[in-house]
Amino acid sequence: MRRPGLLASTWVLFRKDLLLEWRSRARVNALVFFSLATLLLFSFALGPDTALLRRGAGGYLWLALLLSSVLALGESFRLERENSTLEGLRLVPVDARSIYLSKGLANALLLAALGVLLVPVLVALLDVRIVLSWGQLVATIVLGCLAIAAPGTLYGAIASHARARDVLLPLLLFPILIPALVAAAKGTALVFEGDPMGQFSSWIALLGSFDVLYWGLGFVLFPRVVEE
Amino acid sequence: MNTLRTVLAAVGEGRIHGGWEYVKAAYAICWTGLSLYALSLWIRSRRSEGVK
Amino acid sequence: MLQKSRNSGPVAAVRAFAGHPLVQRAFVVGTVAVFVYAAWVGLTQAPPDREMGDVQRIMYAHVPMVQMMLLAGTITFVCSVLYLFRASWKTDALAEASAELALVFGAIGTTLGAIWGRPTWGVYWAWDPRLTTVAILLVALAGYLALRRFVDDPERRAVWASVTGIVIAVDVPVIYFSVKWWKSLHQVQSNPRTVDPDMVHALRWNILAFFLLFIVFLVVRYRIALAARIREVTVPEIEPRGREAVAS
Repeated sequence: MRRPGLLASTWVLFRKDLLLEWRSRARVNALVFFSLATLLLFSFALGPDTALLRRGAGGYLWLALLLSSVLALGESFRLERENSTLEGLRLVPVDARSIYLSKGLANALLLAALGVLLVPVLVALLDVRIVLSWGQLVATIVLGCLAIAAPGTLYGAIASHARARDVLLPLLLFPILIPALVAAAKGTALVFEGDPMGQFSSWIALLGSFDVLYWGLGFVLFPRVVEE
Repeated sequence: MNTLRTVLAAVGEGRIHGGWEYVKAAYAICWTGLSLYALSLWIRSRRSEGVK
Repeated sequence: MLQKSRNSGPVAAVRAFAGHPLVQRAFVVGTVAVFVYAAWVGLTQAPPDREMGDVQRIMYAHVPMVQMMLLAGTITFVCSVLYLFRASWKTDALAEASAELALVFGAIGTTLGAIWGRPTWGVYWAWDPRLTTVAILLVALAGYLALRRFVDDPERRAVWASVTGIVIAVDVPVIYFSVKWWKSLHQVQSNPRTVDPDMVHALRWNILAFFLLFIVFLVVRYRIALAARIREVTVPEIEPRGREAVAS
């Protein structure tokens, strides 16, 4: 049997992951409510001074996304582990790298959708205004979520087979993501507050280079993680 | 001349005086930390050889 | 364990020398001696700094500790890469030992830096790019060691630890530059000055002292790790089956 090409198998697996997430909508809903709850928590812990909350909105958004990502990534691999589907895929044989790309992109899409969903909540709760354009906001969210998904998928695969996986995944992931967190939060804050010194493009460029680096690393290293 | 002296007295030499408490604290932490680690290594080393 | 036959020649001679228990004991004694001398030089012989005063003396411990952390981190990174190309329990054991040392030396070194910062900068912490990068690196190392503890299968553990080690090492410069940019909004950088030769003398002896100490710790920790690895992968002696086996 001819081995399917990288892009073809990536696309097939990607659709499978999205289908799985659609089928288990309850899980996705729970994730949405979790991120909303997180934003509420921040508001209560740091409020009720609205001006202060508004200034921190960019940061809160990304903290909420980061915390939600740990749940999302953990879930993403839990199903695989329970049904040993990763081993099954390897037997087909599917290139491990297409597993990485498809899972990573599916996770990134889920997180980005979550991020976009949270924006109106921020507008309502924290009196946030979108001073720059929606396009720039969406671009920041997409690039930031791609940055989370790249090492997140790599470490998610590792943690899912280890003990104390719920603690291990965030412990491994968070230090690595600090640069991306800084860039994404800064970019988002500029979108919300205006960018008189024209710094937005530099932060976006930074975030973009992180994406290239993390995805490149993950692409190279993931096959070693799942091989027997 | 008097004003100069007064000003100099107020401004100071620009050097931190004393500060030995910080030095003592730092070295105490350094030596204690390293000793504790050395002890931990020694205990683990004994245990490792004991099992063999 | 695979081992090439190296029972002759200069390398073997060095190995035999270094492996001799008396030599090793002498090395440890020498290390302690150098350490005591260096501490004496740093605390009593070196002059106080023109601006920092005696607080300068903290540098004689802080700088070598952080340098050893960086050395240890580099060793772990190199072993991580090496392991993925050629799997070896020795490489894995060295990576583990070095990572632990990096965490210990780094944690103590950073604490010393914070203590130094209080009288000089006025604060224990200032989001200085180097300081912040080291702090993040320490958390990342803790994660690396936690991973090692939570994976039971030795081969998977070695591969995954190598992958994690590589990701951490590659991310370190990224972290440094992003913190620098992040902080560059409020710039507070330490100023480089020419250093008094007496201070250089004290610093050099202390770097040597901490380096020797590092070597001693590394060798001991490496042995512990390697022994643990051997215990894990050695198949235990199969017990004789006894009377029932004879009938079949």
